[in-house]
Amino acid sequence: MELDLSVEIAGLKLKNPVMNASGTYDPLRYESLVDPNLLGAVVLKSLTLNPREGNPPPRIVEVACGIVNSIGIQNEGVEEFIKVKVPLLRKFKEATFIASVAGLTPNEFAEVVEALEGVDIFKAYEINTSCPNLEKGGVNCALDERCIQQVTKAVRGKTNKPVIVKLAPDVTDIVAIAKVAVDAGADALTIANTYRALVVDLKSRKPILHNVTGGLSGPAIKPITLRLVYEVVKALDVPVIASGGITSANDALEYLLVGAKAVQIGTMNFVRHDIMIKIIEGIKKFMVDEGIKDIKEFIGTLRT
Amino acid sequence: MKLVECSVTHNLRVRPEYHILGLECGELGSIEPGQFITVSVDSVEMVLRRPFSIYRVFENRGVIEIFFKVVGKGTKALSELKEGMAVSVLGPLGKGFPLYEGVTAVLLSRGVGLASLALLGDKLKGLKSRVVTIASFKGRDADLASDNEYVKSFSDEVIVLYDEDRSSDVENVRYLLNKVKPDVVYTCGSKRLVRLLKELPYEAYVAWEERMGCAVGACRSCAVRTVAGYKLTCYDGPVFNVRDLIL
Ligand SMILES: Cc1cc2nc3c(=O)[nH]c(=O)nc-3n(C[C@H](O)[C@H](O)[C@H](O)COP(=O)(O)OP(=O)(O)OC[C@H]3O[C@@H](n4cnc5c(N)ncnc54)[C@H](O)[C@@H]3O)c2cc1C
Ligand SMILES: Cc1cc2nc3c(=O)[nH]c(=O)nc-3n(C[C@H](O)[C@H](O)[C@H](O)COP(=O)(O)O)c2cc1C
Ligand code: FES
Repeated sequence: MELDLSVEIAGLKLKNPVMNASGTYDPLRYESLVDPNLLGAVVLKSLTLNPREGNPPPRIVEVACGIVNSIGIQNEGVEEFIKVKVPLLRKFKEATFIASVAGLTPNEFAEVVEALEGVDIFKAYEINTSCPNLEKGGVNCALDERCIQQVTKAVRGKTNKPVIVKLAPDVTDIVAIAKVAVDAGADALTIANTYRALVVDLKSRKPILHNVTGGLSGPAIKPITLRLVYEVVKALDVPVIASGGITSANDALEYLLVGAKAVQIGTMNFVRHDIMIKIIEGIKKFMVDEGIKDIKEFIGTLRT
Repeated sequence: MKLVECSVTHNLRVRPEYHILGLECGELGSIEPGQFITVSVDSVEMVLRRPFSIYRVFENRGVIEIFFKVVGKGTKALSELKEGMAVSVLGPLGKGFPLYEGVTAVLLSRGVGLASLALLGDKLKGLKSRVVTIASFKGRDADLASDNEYVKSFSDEVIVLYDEDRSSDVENVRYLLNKVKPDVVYTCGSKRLVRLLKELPYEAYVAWEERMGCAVGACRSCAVRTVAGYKLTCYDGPVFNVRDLIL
């Protein structure tokens, strides 16, 4: 049977619905284990305007069925990235690259996009709104409707490429925040980032992460993020990319069933380094078993 | 670097809480002393893979050994593995120790840190270097060196130090190092010993440990502060010149 796994998100054609989540995979460092040309898309690590050295260690801690991290968006800054990293990425000729954009003020997001506009390998931007907003005393932008609106508008003004706004999961009303992003010009949404979390050590009576709190990811969060995707898909007419706790083809398929157009694999890339390829194969097998020729016929067919 | 399903060839309990695990991995590619592997224990309940130094290599049989201490639930699960069971192994990872020919080298270990230095001692011996192993332990019941035939096979001298008789005190280690006057010192297992080496005039390297995510240099979880900013323990290390580290 000829299988069609391709999907389209805001005009962006993907050969299949499986991509990595920002910050959890690097096509160059995984080169001997994963062929990035086979992925639906490759999302790069979030970039800020200036280099950021990130938080002091420890930056990661394991919890039941997940991890909590506080990397602090360590990155080389957009200029250095374009100079050093982009030329190396060009060898992956069939890969579809999405840049991930971060910033400490709404304007910084726009400046990063502006700097990336000339780089032809990027077909879309994912906007990582989970950043402290320095104009508002460091409040997490992703939790603040006003900030989401400002950031989306600022970025929208700089590009005609698809703008995918990545939301935080731990908000009171995900649909309300999603609507703010869509109304401000987002073409698609990624739902969602990590959940704010805390891990403490009883003996030392101290938090384990140097940054005190961090973000929870991994299998523990899957049913919670699945609910968020469900709510947004039901309420709004906007393509959704799901990110949260996917460990297998079945997890990926559950998100597609609920209505996500594509899925991102994060934490699981640390555990089974070839998991994304395995998930693509698993989706194909499911399609054969279920007699599904085109994955688009399956997406959003949840019976409620 | 490869991701392979290995089978357990042996799991020896050498002391209560200390195990040597043999893994038949086939062809992993060339292995430098100081490089490590990560092992998957569970993958859903216990998400993260556990990093371990490659303790010993039996090239002709495609078998490697790791030498570990049971400290938590991951190492507990590894200690219970039986012969023939399958384990997912990723490696070899990171950059190993610089090797020198015909020098006097000290391997300075604390506890199971010895596991990260043994393969190095083996290689140095092959390069006609003089190997003095100084191994420090809490007590005699945790002594992993005295009756270790592998360690003895490459060491020209084995000096064992304990906390219980205070022979492991930093001042005594300083005295011993100054007596040997090594060309190079390699260490693992103690920040105290790294601090001491930073004070002494000898060239010195440490196999560093930091909590890891991907272990291949992608996620930036394993940062360690150096004179050149944060470096990644899994990719830039785990071996660092002690003078480059900011503790
Ligand atoms: C490069 C490298 C080489 C190592 N080589 C050896 C070795 O040869 N022999 C040996 O006994 N131990 C070694 N360790 C330490 C070993 O990885 C930990 O003891 C082990 O991960 C503990 O797992 P656990 O589940 O039993 O403990 P838990 O405390 O339950 O682990 C919880 C989490 O913390 C992480 N963690 C705990 N301690 C450490 C540590 N010291 N370093 C890094 N991560 C840690 C675990 O991997 C796990 O993700 C090495 C560590 C690194 C980074
Ligand atoms: C170590 C680590 C680093 C991350 N870095 C970023 C980042 O730079 N930008 C971003 O948008 N999300 C980042 N994330 C969040 C992931 O992209 C993903 O949304 C989240 O981990 C949930 O998916 P998962 O459960 O599959 O991991 C990071 C997650 C982890 C674990
Ligand atoms: S553990 Fe991912 S970069 Fe080192």
